[in-house]
Amino acid sequence: MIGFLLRRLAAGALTLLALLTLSFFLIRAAPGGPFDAERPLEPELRARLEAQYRLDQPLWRQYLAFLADLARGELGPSLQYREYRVAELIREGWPVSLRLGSAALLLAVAAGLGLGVLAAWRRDRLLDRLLMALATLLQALPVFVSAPLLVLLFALTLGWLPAGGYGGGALRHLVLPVTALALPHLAIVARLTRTAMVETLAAEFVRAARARGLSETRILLVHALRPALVPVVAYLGPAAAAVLTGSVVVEQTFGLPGVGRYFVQGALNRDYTLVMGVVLLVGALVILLSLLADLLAAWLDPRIRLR
Amino acid sequence: MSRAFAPSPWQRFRRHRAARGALLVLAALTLFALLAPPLLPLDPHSPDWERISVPPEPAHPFGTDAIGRDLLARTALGLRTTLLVAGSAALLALLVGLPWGLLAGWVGGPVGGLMMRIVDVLQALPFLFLAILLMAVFGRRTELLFAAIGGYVWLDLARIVRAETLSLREREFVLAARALGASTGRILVRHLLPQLAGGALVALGVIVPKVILIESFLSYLGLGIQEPMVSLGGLVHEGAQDMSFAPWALAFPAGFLVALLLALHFLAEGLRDALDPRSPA
Repeated sequence: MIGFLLRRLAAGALTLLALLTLSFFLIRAAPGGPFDAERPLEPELRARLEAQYRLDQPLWRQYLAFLADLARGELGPSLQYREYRVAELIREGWPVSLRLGSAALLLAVAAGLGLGVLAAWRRDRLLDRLLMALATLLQALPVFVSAPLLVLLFALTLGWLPAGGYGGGALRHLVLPVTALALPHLAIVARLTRTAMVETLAAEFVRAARARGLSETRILLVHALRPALVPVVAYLGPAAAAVLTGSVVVEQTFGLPGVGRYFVQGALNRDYTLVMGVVLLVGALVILLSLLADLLAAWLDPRIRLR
Repeated sequence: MSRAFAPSPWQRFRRHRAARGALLVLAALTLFALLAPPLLPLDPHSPDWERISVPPEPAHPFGTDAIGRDLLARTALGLRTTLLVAGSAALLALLVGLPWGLLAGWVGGPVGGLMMRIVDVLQALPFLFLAILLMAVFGRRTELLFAAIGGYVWLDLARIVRAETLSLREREFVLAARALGASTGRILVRHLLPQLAGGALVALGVIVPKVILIESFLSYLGLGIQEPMVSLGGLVHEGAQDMSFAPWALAFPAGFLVALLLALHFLAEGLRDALDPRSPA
């Protein structure tokens, strides 16, 4: 167990380093620099700025300096919003993205599990067929299609909810973005739950529980659900990663001030330090969450060996 | 069961009703993409300043966009671009992933292990983030988009092909071929490759929709295919901006994209059932 954790953490750190290195050189290999977007700067001022941000040094020097800063937990100042440090910008945007993402994941898992259990319980009946057809449709509906459609329906046509903006995190501002982000994952969780439940409902231990005269509800929710959770939990790692990237689209569509927006704008503005900050955050999260999902799956199903 | 009574993959595929329907939809979509612009007197590029954002009407069956371009022609063009990207990226994935997996599985040992470690590391990277970075940084070049997407999706294929090669290479027919004096190259190409085709086809069924999603995702963010070319994702992006007064500009491209993805989903399901009968339906 400890060995597994250490190995996975070491592999994760290596992956993160590879990701950061790749991003570092990729964004610096791009034509243009952070000080090109505005009106032309006076050469002296430009040289001073570049010296201040170490952009006049050779690439390998910049890279080593970046690694040294990173080791001290220092991400440096943003090159675009020069009065802010990258850490400050991320600290500002992160709660928005976190709130959006965790609410979407929670909704996807809760509703997906519920609908999946329902479909497995009414297996091959009309309700099951309808739910699974709906799941197929939702799975084929990308976030960037469902988000505008939701706005069109609930904000522009019915006028029930605001079309965009964060509104200080008010619930009515979050309903549409969270739903858009959750829908495809909700569909997949429902399908996974149904398949696994149908399988476990046919297993010996469920028949034994039936023979002991336990109620159908108890069999469904206690005996059959726990092993059926394993594939759902295994899906959570990749799902969390997808929610993180999906929130780039959702933040853009609804105009939310999260870190996803910083990423696209940062890359377009050649804000080297800001982009590296977001890459670090997202990369670390994706790696940690997939580790967490593996641990959770092993805890749910003791037959799984951690290697 | 005797071999003669087992249905062939093709027979199993034809019995799959959803897959048959999906194939028809795909054929119709492809025909539409290829034939609509040359056959209809509609132009996806030139604006008609008299007819800006008009709802569907006989002259413009899908309506027009915010600068008066015909949306039927633009949807057909976008669909063609999307199909082209999906096809080329899938081809690239096949060209890289198939030999990579085949070699890694055949050679095995430390070299094969190393080849798969490379796949593992690449797969652990949050690819969409790198793709956003790549496109934002290098200014949306179409060939770069092909390369980036193809360079990612071959990983799945390599993994599947390697797993199958590992089990195939131990089978008697390989030993028999070797005993008859066949060279390694001949065994790989003439004996193993045909056996791998089924698994590779099933993998492609998963890869193609993935490619379409990635491409439309990037185009939606304004980072994919660039004007005057346009893909379905780009059209959805344009439509979403005008949807308050011209919802048809969103509805038609979005509808075609979802229809395409659904058809591919059912096709992949049919392929899996036909070619890999052991997997649960």
